[in-house]
Amino acid sequence: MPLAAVALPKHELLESPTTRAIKMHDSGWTLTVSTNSISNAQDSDELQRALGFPLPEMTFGSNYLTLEHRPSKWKYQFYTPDALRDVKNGELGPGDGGVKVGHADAWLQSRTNPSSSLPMPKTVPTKPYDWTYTTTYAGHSTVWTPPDDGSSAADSRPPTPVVEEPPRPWTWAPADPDNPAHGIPLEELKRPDPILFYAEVPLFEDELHDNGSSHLLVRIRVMPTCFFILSRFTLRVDGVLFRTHDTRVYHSFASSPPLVVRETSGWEAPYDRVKAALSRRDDLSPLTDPTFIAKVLTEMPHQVSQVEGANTGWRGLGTKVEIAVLG
Amino acid sequence: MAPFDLDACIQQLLRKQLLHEALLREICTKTKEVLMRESNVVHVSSPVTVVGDIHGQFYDLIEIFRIGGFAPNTNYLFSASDYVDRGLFSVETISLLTCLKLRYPDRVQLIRGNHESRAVTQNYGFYTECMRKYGSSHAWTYFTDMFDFLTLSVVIDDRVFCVHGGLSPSIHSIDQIKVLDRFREIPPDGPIADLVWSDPDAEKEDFAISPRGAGYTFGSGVVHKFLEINQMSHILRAHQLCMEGYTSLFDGHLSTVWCVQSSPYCRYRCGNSASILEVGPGGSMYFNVFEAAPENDRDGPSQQAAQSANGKLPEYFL
Repeated sequence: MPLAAVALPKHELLESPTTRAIKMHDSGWTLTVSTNSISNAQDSDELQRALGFPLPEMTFGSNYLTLEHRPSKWKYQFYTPDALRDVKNGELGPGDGGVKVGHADAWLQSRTNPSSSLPMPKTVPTKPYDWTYTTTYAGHSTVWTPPDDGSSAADSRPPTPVVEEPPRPWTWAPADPDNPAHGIPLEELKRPDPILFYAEVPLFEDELHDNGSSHLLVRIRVMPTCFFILSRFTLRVDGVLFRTHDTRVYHSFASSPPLVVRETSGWEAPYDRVKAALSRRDDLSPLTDPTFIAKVLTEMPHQVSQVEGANTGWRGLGTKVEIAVLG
Repeated sequence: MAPFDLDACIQQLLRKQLLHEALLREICTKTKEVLMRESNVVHVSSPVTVVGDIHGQFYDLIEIFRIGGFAPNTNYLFSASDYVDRGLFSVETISLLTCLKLRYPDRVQLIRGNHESRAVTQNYGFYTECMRKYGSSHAWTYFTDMFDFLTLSVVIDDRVFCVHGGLSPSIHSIDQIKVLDRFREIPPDGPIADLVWSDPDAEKEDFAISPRGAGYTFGSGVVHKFLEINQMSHILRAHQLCMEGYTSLFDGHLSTVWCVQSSPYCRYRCGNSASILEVGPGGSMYFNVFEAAPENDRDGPSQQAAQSANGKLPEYFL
């Protein structure tokens, strides 16, 4: 189908140095992204104090993606501080999927072995937290604020909440597996329709002190018939494991009443199993590519990557589809 | 051994042209002989310009020379090392630094960082870059063999201790560093690992084991005690990213110098500044904070888009 045959819905693009937005006139959606540099020392200190653990090396503390649906006053957001709030602070327990670096056992043994020439020094306990920054953050709903005709798009931070009439109640409900509208239509998303709006919003990234990589990136694309979001957390711990957690949000502008589909999925596998999928054994660079990692993990049998994983007991494994009916 | 013209090599590298593999081998062998004679603690005198992690940012290295002066007119201490990985031009960068070290052994000091190891360079890009540019892993072998001989630390004017990572619970005095056997791959544990891997923790007094399960963080008591025992006034290190180019901790007794800023790792995403530290006679310290090398605009982003998924081109992700 030639691209010209697709009817473009009426929309408007708004842009400032750090913020971009698209307003869909017919459906009443405003989708806004803000991309900024990593937080400066002062902002980092504040956020670190609030969270209680050291921030990822690259924390894009002011970055966000906001979805606003004016008719139903539904507002949903992906925002760095909230994603980090989902990271376990304190001693890791069952379900948290805690791991140590590959050489941790050998390292500790070399320090604690009575015959060791490297006796343990006087150390203080470290404040425990999940140093891999694993998060199953799937976005969060937030207080509706009346739009001020696009000028909020020029602001580098989410606007401060203003209490108006309360938004209509809504909740995420389990999707009906027999209802085709309750799923994400991959065929529609594979169609090369024009992309009216596209953005990549990094929330945080850390190289785990050269022991791997932890990375959370949100992407959005708006097509004439729908919008689609992928928020992907990717973890590599060298020699130990790979982990991916995806949140997909889909909305068809044709749905009535407006329906939002959210799919959350987690996969995990031991490092060597993913490494075995490399086409060239001496080139490890695909192991730094979240898309490659996700492809390998998702193509493994369900039992392997979504049930057993890397035997960490991480609660994020599996897939869940939910819907929200707006209005 | 066939003679080679080192100055011509330096000129060629300054034009960002790779040296032939056979030439690299000779240069690395010669440099190894120079490094082998260096102590684990090299003593230098001010004035000296201290540079943080380079990570294959060739243009930033050139910009540093533009701002700080070219060797041998300026004494350089690539304190923070991490010469390779992450960047697009690790091979050119380490080739140039190696030639400069060989040409001006007393004017250019290279300290070993945790990326100057076989294990880390295989995971973080240098190995892949050598394969891509030379079609074999020979260059990577020459360089990583040479890395085994890099010194571990430098002391400026007997008062400033420079190291890549930080302090080790096994090391109280500088003399204990001098007796370490450093001519090998960075071990996973022990004092050498600590020197290249550890990080300061401003909220602590003592050493603590990292929540990662290996490696130490060190606190203010550790820093003050080390400086007191060794009669020094300051510790300089790199190893960590800082938005403002450098940070000071522990009442100004420890500084982190960060240099790379135009890397895919940084500039196009972080917008942070870089800095070099000019240490003068009498203990003066001046952080020269600078912006990106303009050439990165020409060569950087396009290559960066090919290397990572951060380009702004719309993609039909699923």
